[in-house]
Amino acid sequence: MNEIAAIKLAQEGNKEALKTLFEENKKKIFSLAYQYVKNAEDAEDILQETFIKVYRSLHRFNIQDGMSFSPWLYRIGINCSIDYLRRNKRKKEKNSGVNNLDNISCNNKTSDPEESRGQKEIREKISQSLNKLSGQQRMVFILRHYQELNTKEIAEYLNCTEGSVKKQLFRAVSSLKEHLKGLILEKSYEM
Amino acid sequence: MKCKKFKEKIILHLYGELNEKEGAELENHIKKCTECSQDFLYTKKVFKALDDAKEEEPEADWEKCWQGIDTHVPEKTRRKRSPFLSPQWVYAAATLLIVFVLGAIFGRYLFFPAQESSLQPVISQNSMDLALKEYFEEIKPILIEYANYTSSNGEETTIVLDKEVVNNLLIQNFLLKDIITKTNPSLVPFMEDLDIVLREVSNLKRGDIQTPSLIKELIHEREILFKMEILQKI
Repeated sequence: MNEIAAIKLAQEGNKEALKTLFEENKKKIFSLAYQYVKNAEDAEDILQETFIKVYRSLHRFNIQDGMSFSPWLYRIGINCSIDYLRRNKRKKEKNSGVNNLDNISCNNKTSDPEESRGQKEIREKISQSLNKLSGQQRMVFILRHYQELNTKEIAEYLNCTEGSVKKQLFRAVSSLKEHLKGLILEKSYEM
Repeated sequence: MKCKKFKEKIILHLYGELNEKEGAELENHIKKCTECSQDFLYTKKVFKALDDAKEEEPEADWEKCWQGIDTHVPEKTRRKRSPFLSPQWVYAAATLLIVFVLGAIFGRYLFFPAQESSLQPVISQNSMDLALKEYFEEIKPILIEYANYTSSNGEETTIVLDKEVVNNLLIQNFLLKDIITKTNPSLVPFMEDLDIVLREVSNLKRGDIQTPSLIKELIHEREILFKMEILQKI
């Protein structure tokens, strides 16, 4: 089933078609959500919310207008991620220390204990720094740094100007630079 | 250009977002400015640290995710939008009504300036009744949708409404209320009830399942549909 056929069928309420769209796009949305919330279970929740919203809003998606599905879906994923974190912010702040450390120990690839500790510290600092950013700033940074979208694309997805994206990116990176100061200066990162 | 601007450009440069001219301008500045040169080196280090600390993404439980979606989306049960709520019809009707009411108000000042201070109604009773009936026809389908709103049977019903349509109805309500205050004050409380309902509908946010129930209660408690039915028949 190609994408257009799947969209048309899903618009008529066909769940199999929705599942096809889910299978084709799940990794991209999960990756975005995971980078944003740094927790696999929360990212799974966001993925589900995104596709439930997609199903409910599909009637507004107009293939004839030349609309492209992927950016439309991505935009819903971005909004769901921002909303999710906003809703759960208090809970997250309470558990952030524990969760971040859990993630760090689970995902650590390096075998050198010294290096491992250093990366752990840096990840913790990055996480703390990202937590202090506003939802929008955090999303701009993730879309630029991890999802590798350019500022023009980010502006389109977030429905704001490119200038605003650049400002928010500057603030996010400046905050990270400030938080990582001690750590980076202690370690000699090769250029 | 101030150093702050260059510091912003350093970040964009590292992301490969500066054009040739901007890049050359930045490089020239960095060669001359110690502060920006240090900032450039440090930002580069930070980017490297961020890349080194990048985590491997865990694999999601895709089956569980799909089941979560599957239970929330009913197959082929999406409610169809009522044809009466089609925005183009409501826009057209709303525009006509607004033009009519504004025309009546301005007409009064233009053609009958002497009557300005008198308490004579601006519009004839028949025209007013007609305007009210048209307004009730427009708002009724929305009220019926909310009066029949159900969310308890597990299948969440979605009422699709265009915000602009509701806002137009609010404006019409405001204009009509203004005239009714002079011509038929007994109707004012009823128009105020409609105003409250419309405001609730207008402020409704996506995913909010409590407010539609409150709107439903409001419609039933104040017997809005019943009163409207009577008013339409009079």
